[in-house]
Amino acid sequence: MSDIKALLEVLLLAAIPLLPIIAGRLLLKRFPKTEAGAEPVPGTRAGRLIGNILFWCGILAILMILVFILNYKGVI
Amino acid sequence: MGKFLALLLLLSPAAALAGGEEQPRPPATSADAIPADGEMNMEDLAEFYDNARSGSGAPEMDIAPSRAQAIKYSAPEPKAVPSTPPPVTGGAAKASGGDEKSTGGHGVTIQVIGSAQPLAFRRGAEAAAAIRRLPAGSITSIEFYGHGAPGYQTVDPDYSLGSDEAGDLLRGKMAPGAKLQFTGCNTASIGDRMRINPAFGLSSITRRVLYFSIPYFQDRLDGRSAEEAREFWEREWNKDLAQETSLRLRGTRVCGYRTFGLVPERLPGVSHLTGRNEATSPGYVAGIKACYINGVEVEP
Repeated sequence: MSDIKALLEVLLLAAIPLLPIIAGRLLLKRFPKTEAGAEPVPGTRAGRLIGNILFWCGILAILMILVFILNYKGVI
Repeated sequence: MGKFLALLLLLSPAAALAGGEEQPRPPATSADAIPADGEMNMEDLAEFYDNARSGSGAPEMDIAPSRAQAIKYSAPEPKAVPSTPPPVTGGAAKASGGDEKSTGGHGVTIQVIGSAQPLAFRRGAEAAAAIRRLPAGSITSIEFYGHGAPGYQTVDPDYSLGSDEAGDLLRGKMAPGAKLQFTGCNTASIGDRMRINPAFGLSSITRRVLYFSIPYFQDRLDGRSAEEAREFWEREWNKDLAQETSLRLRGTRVCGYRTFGLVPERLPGVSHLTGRNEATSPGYVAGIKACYINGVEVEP
């Protein structure tokens, strides 16, 4: 029981950085790039900016956790 | 391409400054394994034994394939008596050996009453020896700079200390209102204050995974019972070195970091450019500090 609890906890912790990635991806889908000459949807610029920040921060967070763990394990 | 470069730039600090323990460099000889102060605890003894097995200071037996040949025995060479070099002043130390690989920024900086210049040491054992020689109540400020983990801090690959060691070393030496700073990752607990800073959250997640989840599963694989492993690592992962030390050094303001501390100067390249790749103090540290006096939290 204790092992399952610990395993679930790790999965949950590892999933937290996925939330900004999902939110960022949704925002980027909601505000697609405007074709040249086309009328942009209101808020596209801000939406894409926030989407990009969330998306890349989430990716960085996961990579950072991996780097810390690999460093701790002496791999890097 | 820009995104990729930004990713690389942001990743390097994590790689350089990850607060996990630096892999200790094995001592060159068994003599090196003896602490400068001559006191050996169980860890030192184990390390000494290991090095005695492989180090050059141990008897070397060369058993020839044929039993007809005599067994050669070479007596251990006399140990060099370690001398305590003078402290380094000015915040940075020069590399001790030309070809020796740098162990990065770490050290101990001590501010003493009546001295304008701080005493700075690269090696923890040398600093400890110097502290023992200082008169009582003479230290106004001391900073241990190196890698940290919940409950302890390393100063160099061969010297680390927990709250007991810090308390024993500094008891009676601190001036009234003196400050002790542990500049290492996770040298204070994460605390119970709610924060919305995502970097703090990320640091806490990483701390829990590194110092609870991974060792827990390692223990389980080694056959330790689930209850025992959980109880042990639940106690360990959030240890507060600063608070525990402040209880041992009454009246001293003891500070540590609640998070991983990122030191820009330790970035590969930056340290070379600034000429501080062997600095004994960190300069700017990105991290959340916590301070205690007699175990009670005070403003950092």
